[in-house]
Amino acid sequence: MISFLHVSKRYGPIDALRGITFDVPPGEIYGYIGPNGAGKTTSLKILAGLITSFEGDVSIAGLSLKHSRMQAQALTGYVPQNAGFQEWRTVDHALNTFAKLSGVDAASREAKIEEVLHRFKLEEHRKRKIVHLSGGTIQKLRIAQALLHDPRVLILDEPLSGLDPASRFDVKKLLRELRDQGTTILLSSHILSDVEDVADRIGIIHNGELLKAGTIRDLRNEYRIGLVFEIETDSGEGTQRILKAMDGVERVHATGSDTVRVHLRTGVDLDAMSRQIQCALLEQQMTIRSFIHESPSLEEVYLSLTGGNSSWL
Amino acid sequence: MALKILYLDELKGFSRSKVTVALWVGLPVLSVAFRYFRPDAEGLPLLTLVAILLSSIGGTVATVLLSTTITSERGKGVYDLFLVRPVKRRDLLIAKFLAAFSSLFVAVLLSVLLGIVIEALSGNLSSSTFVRQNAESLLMTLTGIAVACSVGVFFGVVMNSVAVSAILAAYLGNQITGALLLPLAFGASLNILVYCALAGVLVPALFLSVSTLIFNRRNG
Repeated sequence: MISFLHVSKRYGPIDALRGITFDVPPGEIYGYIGPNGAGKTTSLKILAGLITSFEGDVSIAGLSLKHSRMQAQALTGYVPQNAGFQEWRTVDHALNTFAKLSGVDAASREAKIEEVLHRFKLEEHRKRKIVHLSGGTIQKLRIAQALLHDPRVLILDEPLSGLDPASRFDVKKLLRELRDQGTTILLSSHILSDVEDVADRIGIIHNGELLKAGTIRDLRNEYRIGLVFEIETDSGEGTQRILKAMDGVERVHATGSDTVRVHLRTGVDLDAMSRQIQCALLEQQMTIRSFIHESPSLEEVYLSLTGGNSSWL
Repeated sequence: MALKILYLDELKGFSRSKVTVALWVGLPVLSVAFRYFRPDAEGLPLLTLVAILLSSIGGTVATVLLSTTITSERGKGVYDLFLVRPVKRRDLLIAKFLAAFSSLFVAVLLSVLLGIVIEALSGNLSSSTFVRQNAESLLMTLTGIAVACSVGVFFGVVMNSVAVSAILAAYLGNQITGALLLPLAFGASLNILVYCALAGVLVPALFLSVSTLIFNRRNG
């Protein structure tokens, strides 16, 4: 449904994108992650038809953005990161205008507007000027305007920024529902846990290059990370001392007064290591209150891929 | 289709602007005051002077309003929500231009109509050149305003700072409009209709074309 083929983009001397290639099949949520300035927004703007000068080819449902931009745009909904609204606009007026421009016919326009207002709990703000709304409400409106014409492809640039936890939950639920209805979704975010919650596959972009793409499970397996235990004993300090001296342990750090987090070296046998740690602790007469094998996070995959660049986290 | 939607949309925006409402009231009042006081025009017909005055003041306001609005909206990414739909950048600019021009057209029309009423009350309505002079005055004013609006669009697209955009648009917009209308005030042999038609269409078309090219280039 979405195809990026060797896409490059330069801003003067700066390579914003360097030969990015990926595909997103219909009905999939693709998480596009990377640090600030990695090229996420540039990629999304190209896909939305906002940037028209680039190398390579980008297409939506087989329609090349270079040759059939407007037809492709008619299939697409775009939630920009920071787009503003004119000061004089009310919520109702903005939605009406965008619905008309998206080709929603007059007969169904009102019903469609009411549907998105209801979905995002914006009914009470309908007649209000947008400039008087809170940041979170404006963000909901940004998402709402993209859904007016039931797009087959939805592009979201940091859609969860500025939303309260309940709204984030609602938006993530909505994204899953849309995916289940067949909408193809490209979601960019620097909040990795949000991407992890909803994305079927992810692409990690760094310095304009796509470092890796795949499912989170694939990436975890490939990079063999996630060998992490969280252990609670009767002595956090003592546990740290014992574990630091063990082979196969990469690093240990306290997460609470009596809780430590242990990162194992890649390639170690997880079960053997688990037994070994527990034996070592028991031998020192320590009481193990809990011993949890932690699932690796997307952050860890990212850090592993980028050599530990955590400036964006 | 998109142009029509955008135009009506922008027109609604302009009609809600306090500046536009001030123009709708201010320009007719100014026109009446000018006719009432009848300043020394040093040989210029009064209606020509009124036309220059209206186009100068209305044009300056329109230029500054358009340039600052466009510069500010570009900075805030307002156009992204339009341009991700099947909308051309050219249509966005033309819609803004037409909406500003239409808003000022109303103000100018009110001014001219009010002038006609005053002239009629003064007993000058029977003058054989009355209709022609008023038509020429209206035409000159609209030409000036069309040029001013297109200059406003140009600076709105070119400038990144709202303040600089406002200053340049106010100063150069007035200069360009004035320079174009000057031959009409002193060139007795000029055919006003032909001159206004050419200047009022070609100059805005030129400014709008260049603006579109720059807008496409900057954002594309």
